[in-house]
Amino acid sequence: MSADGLAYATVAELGRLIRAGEVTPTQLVEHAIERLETVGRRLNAVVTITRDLALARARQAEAELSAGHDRGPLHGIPYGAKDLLATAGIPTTWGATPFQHQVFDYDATVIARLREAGAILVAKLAMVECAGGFGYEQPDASFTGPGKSAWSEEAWSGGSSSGSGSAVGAGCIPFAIGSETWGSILTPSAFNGVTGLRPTYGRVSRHGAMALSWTMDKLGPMARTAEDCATVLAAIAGPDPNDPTTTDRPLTPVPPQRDGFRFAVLKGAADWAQREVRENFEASLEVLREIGSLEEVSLPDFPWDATASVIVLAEAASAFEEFIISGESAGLTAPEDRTGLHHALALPAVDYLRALRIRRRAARELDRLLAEFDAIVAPTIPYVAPPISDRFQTWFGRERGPSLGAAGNLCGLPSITVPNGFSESGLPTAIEFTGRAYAEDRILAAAIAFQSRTDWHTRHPAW
Amino acid sequence: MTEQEGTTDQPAGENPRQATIINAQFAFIAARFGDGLSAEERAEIRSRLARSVALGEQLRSVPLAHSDEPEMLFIPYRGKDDQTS
Repeated sequence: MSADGLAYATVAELGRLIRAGEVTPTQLVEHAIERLETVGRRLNAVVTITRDLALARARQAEAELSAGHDRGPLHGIPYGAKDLLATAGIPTTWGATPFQHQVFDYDATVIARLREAGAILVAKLAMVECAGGFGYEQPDASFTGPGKSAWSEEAWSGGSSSGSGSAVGAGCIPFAIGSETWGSILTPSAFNGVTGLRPTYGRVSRHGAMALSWTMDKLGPMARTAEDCATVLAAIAGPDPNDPTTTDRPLTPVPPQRDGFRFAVLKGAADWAQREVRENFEASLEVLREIGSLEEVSLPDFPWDATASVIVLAEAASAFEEFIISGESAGLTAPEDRTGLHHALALPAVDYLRALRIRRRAARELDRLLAEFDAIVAPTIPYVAPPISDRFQTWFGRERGPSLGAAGNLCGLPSITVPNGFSESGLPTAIEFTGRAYAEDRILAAAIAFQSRTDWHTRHPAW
Repeated sequence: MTEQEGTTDQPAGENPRQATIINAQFAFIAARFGDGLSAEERAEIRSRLARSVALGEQLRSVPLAHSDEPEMLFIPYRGKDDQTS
């Protein structure tokens, strides 16, 4: 296979090549590192490349596979991790200058599980400083510089899992781990034309991950296909005594279903989107009609954004209180981040508790709605990636229409985003499928069926 | 900007009740951070406080019953049985 073919191959394809003896894990790791050093650095996607460790693991994978010890579909596959996951002896910077030299002496559970599955960590990937919890308002909010989209160096990669999105999108690695509190997996996946899965809250252990919001943080895969996301999820999901919020509810295998789905369409979600996003979404609905039924629905009437905002603000302010009070937050890159959480230190406790009480009611009403469907769909982001020089308010504005982001994250629901077209300027657009709690199998099946009838996920930039 | 100037503004669109709450919360923040904030930072913090006060008002628009509990995860801790405390 050509180098270009390796760059944009899926996990499943690379696994077949390894087992056919057409490529070795060492060759894959060397290829990934070469692309990370060149393309990845150019996109500001990389913090640390773990060359020596990765090459040692690659040799170990080769020895194990030669001896007939096959750890499964990720054995010998290189990957990158958002730099908020603890890795023993390797800096974990949280994307922030004040934490640039932070080193933990243990691995995050996700890192440990991927190692057990045979996957090979090749890089810690760039991210918005402190996962965006300080209220950044423009792309230049990381000590590694503004993340650039795999599709245009003039466009933002999205955040906060910026490098995870652009490194996969630009063919540096076949998959990465990102985190999402509110949009941080889905947004960079959409802006880089990759497939990203936000699992149900508690499905994947948060042990060893930087805490932004204890009750809203989730970790999940970003890859080329929904099938690859399912493979990675199977490796990282499951209960963990180090994270008491993890669930022991088993991960249901993804069924080989290709039609007969029931889709809800979020009413009004595309009305205020950019024209190309709206047109691509409407074209996607035609594809979904081929594989299932569609019914327009509205979300139950709750202040979704306000409730999610109060929870994130209160938990982030508490998690970072010492950092803020000590004055260390003044070392953050984006000027607005340096005092971005000060105000949240005055948030009344009763407001936080009220938000938690509302969440409980809202989650039950939303589940009643979703119980009738396999997934509710909407444009992942109503606009394409903004220019890296723009402030978000210039591009996004303050007004928002209905979206699944606040409701889905507030209630801890799983969601997957898949590419569904391009703008006239060549930037990717995407559609998201959000499901009931613990129903990753349903949204993955729907996304796999969608990708079996479209080829947007196979297109890639000219790196 | 002095502390007084930073706490008594009432921008357009803010009613007196909101302004009182925002200014009280700002005074709390200013007390915690003393003189370490620039005028620009104080203005930014007050602006964000105004937004978070508005968020709280949105939450209070949702009627809740006494029985509406928050979802809390608390697991009573018990050490190994050979420990004395």
